[in-house]
Amino acid sequence: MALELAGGRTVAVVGPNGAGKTTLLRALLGLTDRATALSLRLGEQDVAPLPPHRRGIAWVPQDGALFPHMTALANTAYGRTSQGASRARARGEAQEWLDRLGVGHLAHRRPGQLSGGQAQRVALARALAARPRLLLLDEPLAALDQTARARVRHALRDHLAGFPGVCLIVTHDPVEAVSLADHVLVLEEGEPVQYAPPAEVARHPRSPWVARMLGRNAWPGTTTADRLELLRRRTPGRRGTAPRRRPGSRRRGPRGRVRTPEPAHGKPAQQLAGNGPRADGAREPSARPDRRRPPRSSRKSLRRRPRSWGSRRGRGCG
Amino acid sequence: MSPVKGRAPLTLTLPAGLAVAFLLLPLAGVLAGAPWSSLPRRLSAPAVTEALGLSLVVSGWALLLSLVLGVPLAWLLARVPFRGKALVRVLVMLPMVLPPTVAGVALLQGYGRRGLIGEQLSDWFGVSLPFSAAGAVVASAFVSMPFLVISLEGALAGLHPRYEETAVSLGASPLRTFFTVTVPMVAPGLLAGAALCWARALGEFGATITFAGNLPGTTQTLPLQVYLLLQNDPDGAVAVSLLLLAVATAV
Repeated sequence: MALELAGGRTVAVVGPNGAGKTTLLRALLGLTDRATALSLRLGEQDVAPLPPHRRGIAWVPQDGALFPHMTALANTAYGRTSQGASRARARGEAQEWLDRLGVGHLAHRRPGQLSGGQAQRVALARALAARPRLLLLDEPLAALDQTARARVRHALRDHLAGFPGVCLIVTHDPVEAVSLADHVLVLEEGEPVQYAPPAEVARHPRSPWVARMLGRNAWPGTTTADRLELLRRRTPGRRGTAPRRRPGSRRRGPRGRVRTPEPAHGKPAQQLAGNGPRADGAREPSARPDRRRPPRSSRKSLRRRPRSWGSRRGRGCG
Repeated sequence: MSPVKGRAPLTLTLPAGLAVAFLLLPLAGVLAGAPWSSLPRRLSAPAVTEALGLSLVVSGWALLLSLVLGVPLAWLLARVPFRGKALVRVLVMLPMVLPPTVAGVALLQGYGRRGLIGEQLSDWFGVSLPFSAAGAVVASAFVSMPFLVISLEGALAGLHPRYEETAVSLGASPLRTFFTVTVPMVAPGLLAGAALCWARALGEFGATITFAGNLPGTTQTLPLQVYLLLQNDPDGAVAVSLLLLAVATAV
């Protein structure tokens, strides 16, 4: 897999648990033996042979991992002092970053006295203050409750816009991916399945998993020159009655194109599915004006799935 | 949380109470038998103050030696995968379970004048460990270091590596990360381990008397003095015991 990104870009990496998202992050950081980045070029420099602390890649783990024995300010200054900046200067810059993220007034609190959303902002400030060339956010919103999630997502979007380096957001929530990133990379079982702008991923998901998570139906089928043949004989347009494809079942079943049924407003499906190496998926845009977000109900049901919660907690960062 | 509120079964409370009595009785005996009237005089006797000073010096050095060598070892055991780790763990645990006199004999065989590296030590560095204060330090450290290593390793294993990994990703070198993130975050475990280690070094008897001997002023620490006093001055032994008891309780 090879990616090339201009500075200031944000890429979201999505995929189900075990897809290799965290392994990808750790490979970029140089913290794992399970996978290595053969060449990792940041600007002019290939950082792959460098030890982790010289790569200029800052990592924000799932829960922020703020150092509990330091104040928010000392946490934020940590990167610059480690890189050799003077204490006063590092603290000054740290305060600026905290102010910019709206948590400047909490500078002297310890992480234990911060709420989840505040801690996440401090963690982001700490990573940005280290002036990374590549910023890695591991499930930045997973540990937050619904209200904090929306607020931090906004803060993230604002500040990533001003970030000169490349940002990689790992998430298993496609909603997050689609709302935060310029490009979405879908991973499944360690393989890239799709790499496209969010609108494209939402419209033509190549992975049934993404389609399902975005609250869409994806039916397996084949497109011919002028029509769509579903793999299983079902009348298109009967939403909700068709069984949703599960990601696991995809391999066992006969391979075919995934095609969506006709949208509710009755326009015939015209878009062809992309020719991915695996099962392809295609989606009609929903009729909603904001295509990046699926209906609220589906997002809620997503959160309530106990497996999803359990895995978020249990997976940790390793 | 007790399963039945307010009512613990008698079959458990009775032995537990006996255990408390069993532990308490000897201590009460020391308190009751202490020669309170002559206590200040006895404890300020030159022999006792000398032994107390020596005990503090020896246990302090033993703690320092354990910290310098044991902290990196605990880190290695908790963080770095390597072959033969189980073997190293057994080696660390061994002095804890070994009878201290056996430890003393083993030390003689290793660092004694005719031990494995005893000759080299005296030829190259002019150091002779047996029957010297340095020998007492070595004996104490040998027996007490495991307490530090074991409890620190436990603390390190409980610390999720993501803190250290985040620190490294922010640009801190591994050594800097160790001192600015790892050590402060395991401070409670480190402190507990150091306290245990120091207390064990302070009370060390068997290995010290076997390896370093019982020379007043050089290797005669408080526990050794208690043992000697018991033979001709039981009251004095009780008085010094009281002193050690107070120190141990404070730790």
